[in-house]
Amino acid sequence: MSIIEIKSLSVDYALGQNGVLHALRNVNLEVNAGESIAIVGESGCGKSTFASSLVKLLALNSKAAGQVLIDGNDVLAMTNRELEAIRGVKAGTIFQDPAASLNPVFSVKEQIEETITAHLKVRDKVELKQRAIKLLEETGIKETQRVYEAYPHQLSGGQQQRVMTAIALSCSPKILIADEPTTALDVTVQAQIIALLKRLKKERNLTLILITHDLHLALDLCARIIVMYAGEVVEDAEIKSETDSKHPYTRALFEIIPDINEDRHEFSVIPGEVPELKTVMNECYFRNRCVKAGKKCSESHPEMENGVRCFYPYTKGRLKA
Amino acid sequence: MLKVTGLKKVFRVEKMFGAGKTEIAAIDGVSFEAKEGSILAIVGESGSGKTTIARCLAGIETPDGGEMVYNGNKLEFDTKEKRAAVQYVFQDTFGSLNPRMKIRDAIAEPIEFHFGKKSADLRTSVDACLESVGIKAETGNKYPHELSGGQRQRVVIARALSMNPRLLIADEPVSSLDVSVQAQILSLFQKLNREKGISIIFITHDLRIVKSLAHDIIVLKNGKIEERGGVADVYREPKSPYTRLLLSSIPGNQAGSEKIHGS
Repeated sequence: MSIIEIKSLSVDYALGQNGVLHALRNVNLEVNAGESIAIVGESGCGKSTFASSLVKLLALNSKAAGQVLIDGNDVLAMTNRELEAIRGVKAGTIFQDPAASLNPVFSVKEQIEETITAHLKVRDKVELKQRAIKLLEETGIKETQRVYEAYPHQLSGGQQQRVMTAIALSCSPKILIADEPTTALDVTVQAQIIALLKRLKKERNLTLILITHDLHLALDLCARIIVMYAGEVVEDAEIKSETDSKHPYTRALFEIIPDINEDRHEFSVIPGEVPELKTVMNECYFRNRCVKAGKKCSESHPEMENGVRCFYPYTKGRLKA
Repeated sequence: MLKVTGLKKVFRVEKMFGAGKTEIAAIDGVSFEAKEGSILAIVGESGSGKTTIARCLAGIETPDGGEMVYNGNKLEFDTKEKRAAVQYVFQDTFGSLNPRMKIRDAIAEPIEFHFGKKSADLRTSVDACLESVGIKAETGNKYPHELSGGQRQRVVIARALSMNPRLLIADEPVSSLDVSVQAQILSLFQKLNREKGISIIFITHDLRIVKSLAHDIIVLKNGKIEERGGVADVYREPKSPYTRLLLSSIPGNQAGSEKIHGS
């Protein structure tokens, strides 16, 4: 059974006299319990708006249409009070910058325990401490007692991200949303956090929603890759390597990553930029940057078909000629 | 050729409540060479001293010991010509440009100051400068906030190039940029190195980029060099365990198999 079901979700941002920005357009998605999906794409493709709409953390100038069903209940129709039973409880979130997500004037102890008290109504101090310490241990923190009493600035970036993860998991959510969880961290720390997410996913049978622009990170953690472009899903498939992908945009994203197995070589580039999301056009939005663009692409807008939104998709297995 | 021997920089940090000062060696006896017209990558984690080396090379910090020699001459910064010869591209593109100055003026200012160019002559130089990094001349009339991150980084690179530097130092120039924009900027560095023969010192923590971009690599840890050599050699056979750890930390790198521990 699907734990998350998204039906024709669109999110618009009102920009005053600058018009309306269509950040998400008609997104349809079903995620099964225990599945891991990665949302990839360039900046401005709607990845983060997507993540925020899962728990209705949208900006005030936004307008959402469609449905986001978590366990069959529409999150977008909920009041703030009702959302308390979703945020943190059913879906925990880890954000990109741990230093900005933790409150600098409260200790780790207070921040973990506050979440547990607020959602699970646990007030017994001994029990709270037990739970917090157990969470810190689970997220791989060595000096649990010191970290438990510490303030965020006394911790390293990696420790802060582990604490964030502990808070996100404190109410045992089934879904974990990780929005660029490693971008702000050092390489070796990145690898540690990836290993941690992998372990937690397995141990807790989490449904992981990973938002990233790092395709390699996505492939490492998730079997199913959702590629977004200009507010739309353009490919939704099980992808293990470049040859599995069908959309020219997905292939281009693979191409621009420097190849670690090759010596000095030319960098591939996707020409141009993501188009402004203000107008709705009857054409393929990727057309101008696409190597495969043909006649049809300027005449009508492609629909999702067999997991890909393209008139001239690549066939699986063959590399770019 | 740039030759650095025994470079040292110590920061004196004040302890709390007047308990005296404690000394931290940010770089501790670093020696390396960068060949003329090559790209040298300096890698390492936060706090390893990457940026301190770069700041010493650009004359922003004064080293506490050691020597920096460029083509037989000591690297000094006592005249404006000498200062112009080493240019620096910072990570934060927004912080590198004055928000109240048009792009055109931001580029014109150093050209006017260093080369004394005026009016029409200055205008042509600025346009040529912008075009050399793939920015249209009319974009010069915009303010920094009107440009994208990638465009701003191009402008900053254009400004650095306008000084005809012998050495270009790029300190994490693509870390804050999107994947596709990263590729565009890296390809620009590649072009500058190949076509103009500019020597580049490229500071990064992304080892995937280094492999495709640089000729030589220095791996830094706690202010000391862990390993140095040609990029291909170091990636094929890393000698130091720390380099192996860094290489195995790259997501999707099958070559590295070392387990990662610790919190």
